[in-house]
Amino acid sequence: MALAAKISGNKYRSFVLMSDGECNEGTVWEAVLLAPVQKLGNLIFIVDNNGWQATGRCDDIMHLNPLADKFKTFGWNSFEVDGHNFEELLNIFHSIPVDSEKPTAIIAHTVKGKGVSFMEGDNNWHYRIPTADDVTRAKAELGLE
Amino acid sequence: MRDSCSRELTCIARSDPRIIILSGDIGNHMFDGFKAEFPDRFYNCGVAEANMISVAAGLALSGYRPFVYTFAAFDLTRCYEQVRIDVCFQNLPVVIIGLGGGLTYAPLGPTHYICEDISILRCLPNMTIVCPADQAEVMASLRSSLDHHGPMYIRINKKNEPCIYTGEPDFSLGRAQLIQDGNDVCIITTGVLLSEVIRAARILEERNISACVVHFHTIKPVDEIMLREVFSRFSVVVSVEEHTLPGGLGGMIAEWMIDNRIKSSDLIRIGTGDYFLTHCLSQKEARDHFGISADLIAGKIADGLNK
Repeated sequence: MALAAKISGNKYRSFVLMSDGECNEGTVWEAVLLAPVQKLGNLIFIVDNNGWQATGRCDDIMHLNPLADKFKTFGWNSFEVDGHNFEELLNIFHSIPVDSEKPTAIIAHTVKGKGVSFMEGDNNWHYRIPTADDVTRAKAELGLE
Repeated sequence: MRDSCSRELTCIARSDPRIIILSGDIGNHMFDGFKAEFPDRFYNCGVAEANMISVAAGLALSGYRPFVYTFAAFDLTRCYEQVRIDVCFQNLPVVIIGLGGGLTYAPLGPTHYICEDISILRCLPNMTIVCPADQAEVMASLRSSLDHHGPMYIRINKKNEPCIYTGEPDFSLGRAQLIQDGNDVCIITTGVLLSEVIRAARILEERNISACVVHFHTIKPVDEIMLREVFSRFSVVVSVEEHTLPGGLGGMIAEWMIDNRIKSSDLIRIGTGDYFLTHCLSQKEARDHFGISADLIAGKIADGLNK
C-alpha cells in the first residue's frame, strides 16, 4: 500500500502496528530491506516492544536487540519511545518528516499487561483467556468501570 | 495428542540420541520434561519457520533425527520452499509435526487453522503423510518414523480426542486399518475425524444402513491393496475428512479411481468447503458448519444412498 501510494501519487501514509516477537520472521526483514530502496518515506512501523513472545523473553529466543539500531543500519529513521506515554507518541508522530525518502520505525517500549496487577509481567497471559471475573478486576484496576 | 506427542518423544529420545526437537516458539511448558532430560537437544527457533526447516535439514544431513514442532498452519505454508527443496528434494528424515491440522484452531481464525495441509504436501515427492486418529496412534506414528528414511508429516490435534484404540494399535506405515465391517457402504476417513465417523456409522445402523469404516492413517503412500478391496466390495464409497476437498483424501481416492478405471462404484466426498471461515468458531461448531460432524455425515450418506 505504501508503494501504491507512491505510484499513484496519493499522499496517505501507511502505519504498520507490529510486535517485537513478529520481528523474528524473515519476511519482516525482507520488507525492511525493500522499503528504503523504493524510498518509501510514507511507511511507518510501530513496534510494540514488550520484550516477550509466546514462549519467553524475545532476547532469549532470537537476537533482536538493539532493534532501533538494526532499523538504522537498514536505512530507516528510527526512534525509541515510551509506548505508554501518549504525549511522547504524539510528538514522535508529528515529528516524522512527511517528505522523507526514508521509512520510519518507532520502537515503542511497553510492558505486557501494564496496569493490571495479575497480568503485568506474566507471560502466561499470552495464551490465557480471561474469565468474566478477570475482566471485571482488570477493568477496575485500569479505571475503566 | 499434544501431550502424548511430547511424552513419547521424551521416551524415544532416551534410547535414540539422534533425536532433536525444534520448536517454532510454541509449546510453552509442553516440552519441559524433554528439556530437563535433554537440554542440548531442544531448540526454540523462534517465529521463523523457514529457517527452522532449513536447520532441521542441516541436522538431518549431519546424522540427527529432527522433529519440527509448530502449528500446522505455520510449519508448512511459511516455509514451503524449504520443505520442498531442503527436505523433500534431498529426501531427508525430517519429521514435521503439524499441530492443529484441520479445524482444531478454528477458534483462532484462518491464520491458525488449516484445511489445506494434506493437499499441499501430497504433491511433494518423497513426503509421507500420516494423520493419527488418537493418542495411541500419535505415539505409534512417532515410533515408526524412526525406521522411515525420508520426510514425514504427522498431523495432530491439540487435546481431548476420543480414544479409538483400547490397546496398542496395530500400526504399520502405509497400511490402512479396518475399524469395523459393514455391508451397505464403506466410509473411508483419516485422522481425528475417525471418532465422528464411527458415531456416524452408529447413527446409520439405527437407520438400518450397515457401514464399513476404514481408517487411512497414512494418506501417502496410500494403501492400494485396501482401496482395491473396498472398491471391489462396495458400490458406494464415502470419503470423510477434516480437510478441504481439492487434493485431500477424497481427491486422492478420486485420482486413484480414474487411474485404475474403477467405474463400478460411486464415490461421495465429504470435507470442508473451498473457502476460509471469516468468523471464529469452536472445532465442534466449525465441524457442524462444514457438515462433518457425526449426525451430518450420517445424513449425507443416507441421502447419498437414497434411503
